[in-house]
Amino acid sequence: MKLNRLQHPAFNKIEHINFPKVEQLKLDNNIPLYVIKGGSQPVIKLDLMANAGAIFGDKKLVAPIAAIMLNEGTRERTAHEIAEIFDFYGAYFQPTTEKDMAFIGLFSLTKHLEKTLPLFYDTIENSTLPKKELATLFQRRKQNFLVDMEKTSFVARELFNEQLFGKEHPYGVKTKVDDYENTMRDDVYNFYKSHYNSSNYQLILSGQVTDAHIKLINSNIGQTTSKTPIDLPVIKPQPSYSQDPTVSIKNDAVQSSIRMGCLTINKFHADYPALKILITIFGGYFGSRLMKNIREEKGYTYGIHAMLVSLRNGGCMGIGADVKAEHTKEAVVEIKKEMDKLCQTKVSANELALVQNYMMGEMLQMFDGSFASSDTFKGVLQYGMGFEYFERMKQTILNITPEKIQAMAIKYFNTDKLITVVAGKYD
Amino acid sequence: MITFDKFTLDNGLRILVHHDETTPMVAVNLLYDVGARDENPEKTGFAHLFEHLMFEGSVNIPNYDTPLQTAAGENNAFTNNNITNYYITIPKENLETAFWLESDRMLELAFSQEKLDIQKKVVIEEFKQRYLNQPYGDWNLLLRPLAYKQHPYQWPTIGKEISHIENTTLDEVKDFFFKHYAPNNAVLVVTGNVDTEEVKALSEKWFGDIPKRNVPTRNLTAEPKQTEYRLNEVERPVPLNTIFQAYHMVDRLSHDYYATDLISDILSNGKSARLNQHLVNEQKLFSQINGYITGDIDAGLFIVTGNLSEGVSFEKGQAAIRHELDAIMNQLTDENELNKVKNKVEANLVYSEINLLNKAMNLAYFELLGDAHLINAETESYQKVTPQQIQKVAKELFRKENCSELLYHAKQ
Repeated sequence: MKLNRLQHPAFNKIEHINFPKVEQLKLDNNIPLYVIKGGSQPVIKLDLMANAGAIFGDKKLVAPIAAIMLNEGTRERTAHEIAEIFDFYGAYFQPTTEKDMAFIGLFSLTKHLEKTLPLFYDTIENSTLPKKELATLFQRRKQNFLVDMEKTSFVARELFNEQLFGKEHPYGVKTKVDDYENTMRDDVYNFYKSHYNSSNYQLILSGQVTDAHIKLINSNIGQTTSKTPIDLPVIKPQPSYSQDPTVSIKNDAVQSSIRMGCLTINKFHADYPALKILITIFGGYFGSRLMKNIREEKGYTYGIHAMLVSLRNGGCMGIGADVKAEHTKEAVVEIKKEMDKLCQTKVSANELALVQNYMMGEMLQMFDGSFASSDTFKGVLQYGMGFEYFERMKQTILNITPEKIQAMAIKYFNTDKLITVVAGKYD
Repeated sequence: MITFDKFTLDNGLRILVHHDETTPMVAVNLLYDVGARDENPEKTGFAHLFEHLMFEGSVNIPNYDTPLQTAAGENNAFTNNNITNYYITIPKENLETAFWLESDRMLELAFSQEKLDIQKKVVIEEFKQRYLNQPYGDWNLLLRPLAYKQHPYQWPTIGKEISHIENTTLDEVKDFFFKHYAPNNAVLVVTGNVDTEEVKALSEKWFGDIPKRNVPTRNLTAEPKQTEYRLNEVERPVPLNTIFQAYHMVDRLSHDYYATDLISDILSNGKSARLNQHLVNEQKLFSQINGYITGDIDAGLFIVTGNLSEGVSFEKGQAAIRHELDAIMNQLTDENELNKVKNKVEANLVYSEINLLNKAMNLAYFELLGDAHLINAETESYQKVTPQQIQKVAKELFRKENCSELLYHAKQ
């Protein structure tokens, strides 16, 4: 029989996802420990989530600098000694500061955890933030910042956050070159002391975890006494709306970076899963409306994306692209047109089915293995949720209708409250 | 240790299967043995532009992405100087969709002038986004032709200049396809909860009838030994003065490859490495500095690059780098330091086996190098390196006349 290459071979719709089991434990000092076991390699990952993201800092650089300084010296070890030991055991110390939470990660071979874990916790508990290392760090970060300021994409992102959240808001405040001179060691040290203590921690452990590992963690991290946790500050965003884009001119730019978006909702809101589907159709995958129009039909850009971002003080939708400088205005117009289209016309059953399947595949990947699952878990734990959120997401994907998508567009794509920012050229 | 089965179809397509029961996904990786090194020097950037066209529909399937996404799959591709690599991850039960799509675009593309014109525009914007609209973005366009005078590594994957992309014709596209996109010029790897018999049946069904093609034998001029120091200085609107140095190193299959890689680790892998400790933390001459190898299949480059701190002269920065290179040439590396970088390599090899797609890509690459079993000998090859070998390799590598240097002067 001749092979029929025209016909898509039989395939299944994905309707089931095995959400892995999350064991909930408590260390002796009541720090919550969430364990997701699995994996084919002898590797373990510990994530310490601290109430220490940007929203907690009263000055711009304080929160991220505190996290990066953790392994720059403790009471008993110099920065160099710490680096030598982590490198010797092939382990990674990974501090990241997000807008709400800070995550300090340890990635290690299981056979070396006995050596790497005590060091990991020493850096968090006993960091001294030495002056000399701090000065070097500020100097280095300042120089990197000067390089970033030459990138239209960086300038546009900073400007966008400022317009969307407000220039005083911790989500929106821009970095200034003076910040690297004016942030004092006391500011960083006080932040470290008040935010890096066990009452502010939750732990996520993944990989080939055994009871011995859990004991080891309890004996290292579970013994300090806790105080009252610091609540996440509630600060209302103050967007500056305007009909015209906010433009930062860069005369030698051959491309303009466009950032557009609006305030929406976060994961606490019941509409969030459905809105996420709308944003995926709009600009969240390779075949999205924006990619089809602006890359595949017009060739204005290498890539254009839209995403939904959840933050504790409100969520937002962001659209980003670097486009051919001569076509900046047209690209902005086309982005708005695509938003209008989703408000005015229902998506076809075919397009919706495609996105439903695509998103189910994406979700399957988010739970493919214990490390992927623990990353996924981080995104909901900070909302006090677990994988039941993804059960709700899954049900929404499987049952979504064109009417619901249109309703979401009408409700959240409000072009009067759209922020548009351009870095590069706009004429 | 990665276990796998291997078989070859009559048309020459090599297929490897690795079984992993821990995942609901499968990864399908199709590597073509063609890269920017196979391009005509007057028509560079072609292999990469071609990669874009591979997503614009094939002879029986008008659109590549839609059916894949409908079957809950994800895909992407990359081109470099050596290879072009396409990959898919998809739920196991929909594996056949990947075979259907990949085999049809190996059979023949739906060539069209209109699609070519659009992708030229997209690639030109990619050129601008990555190479022109970034501070220091053009370093690869400047350093490669300085270091290579004969070998085609003298241009980056994106191409020498935008006009090469603009001038591409549809006939050249067709010609390139039938020359390089052939079952006998590719390696297919499937990893996941699959068994070899199942993959064999699917491979025969979808790839079995694709004809073998005449793939030209690669005959590249080896880069002659560099005998004099080369320098290029440019002025750009960048905030910091910056140094790029390139030293010719051995090819991927050379015995000395492992020592060279470990030298880059001693100098620059991790916070405790020498360049960072000495030149950033202690002497504060650089705000950041890195050393790494390109690791190309043919003889590649050892790159050292650093941003000078404010007020530090080029001479001072260059002398400090030279001091570090001299140290590794003139003094035996301490066993403890060597063990540190070996441990790190070992750990990184374990980490690289976590991800299903990563395993598929690595298997394909090692098979292309000659034999996928080489992948399981890597740890040992690194373990065997001695301090004496490190010194011997460093002495050849870091000769002053083996250096091509690019200096960015910040325009005030």
